[in-house]
Amino acid sequence: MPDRVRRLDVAEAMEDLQERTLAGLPCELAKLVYLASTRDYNSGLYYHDGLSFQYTSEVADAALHSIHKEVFQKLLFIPLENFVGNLEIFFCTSHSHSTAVLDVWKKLEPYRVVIPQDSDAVSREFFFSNVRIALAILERRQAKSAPQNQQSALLPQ
Amino acid sequence: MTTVLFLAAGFCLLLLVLYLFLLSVPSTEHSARPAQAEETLRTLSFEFPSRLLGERICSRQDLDFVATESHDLQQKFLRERKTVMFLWLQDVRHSVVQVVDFYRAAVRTSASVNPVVEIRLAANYVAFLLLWEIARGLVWIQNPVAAQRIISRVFGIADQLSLATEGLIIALDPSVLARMKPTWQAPSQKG
Repeated sequence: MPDRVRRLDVAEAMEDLQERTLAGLPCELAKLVYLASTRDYNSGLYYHDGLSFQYTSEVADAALHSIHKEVFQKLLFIPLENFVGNLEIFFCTSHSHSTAVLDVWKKLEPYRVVIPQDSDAVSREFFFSNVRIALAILERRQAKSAPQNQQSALLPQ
Repeated sequence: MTTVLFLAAGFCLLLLVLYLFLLSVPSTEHSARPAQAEETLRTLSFEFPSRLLGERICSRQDLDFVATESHDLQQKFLRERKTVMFLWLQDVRHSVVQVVDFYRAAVRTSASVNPVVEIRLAANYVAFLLLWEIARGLVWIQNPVAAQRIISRVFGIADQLSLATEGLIIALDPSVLARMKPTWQAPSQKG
């Protein structure tokens, strides 16, 4: 069986990933989490089955790494209000109840492993800080809406 | 008594000159820079922290958004932003000190030295150190949003110093620069 010729174009691989995979995700934070999930925790290299079929593993790694950094930069520079919105959308579209997800995020701090490996210290701390503030805001909003939900449930039908 | 008055007047005059000098320092984004010189600074690990990130940290828009939340949340927000701003300021200072140290080492190898340029650079460096301390104090006493303007000026001066070093790199004999690069060791840890 002849060897497949794999493309060497990183820009093309990035475009491919944006159009086929990332376009279907609901927000930038979801993209960040997804891209982080393609990274091997031991080697720090990125893997993606779809990309590896068409491109070399080096190209796929470079493309995923570049987009991961781009998405992280976008999240760093959006206003806090939009950041909170991103987190809210991400929690609502997860498979678990948003209250449970919020609780896990507060305790386990999974946001610490979703950033690009080569982020500088200030960017890292700023992102973590924004997540902490956003979690606090969402928690307060949930607490405020919980008594209202209970009151609605008690009303006669 | 007369001596004390003269000293006080001299000190006030010095402060006035410094203040006027600081006002003349641009706080807006720098103009086009020679790519090769910028690349040289990067290879020597003299990369300045992002100005945009600094502006994001002390964003009034974010403070206004949090103002609609509880007092506790507002306090949490300000505490978080203070911590990050201190990190950013420390980064800027570290980068400036590295760049100035390199400049001083490089200028010793240069045959032609312009005294006016050197004096201006020295004044910029002193102004930077002074403004940096004021910015840090203001962030600590109040918050990063309150220190927005002065933080912008701090970065403006840092930029001027970086630009001066880039100018020197361009003027340097390439063989001198090639000799300096491997021997120049930038500290690996930012402190």
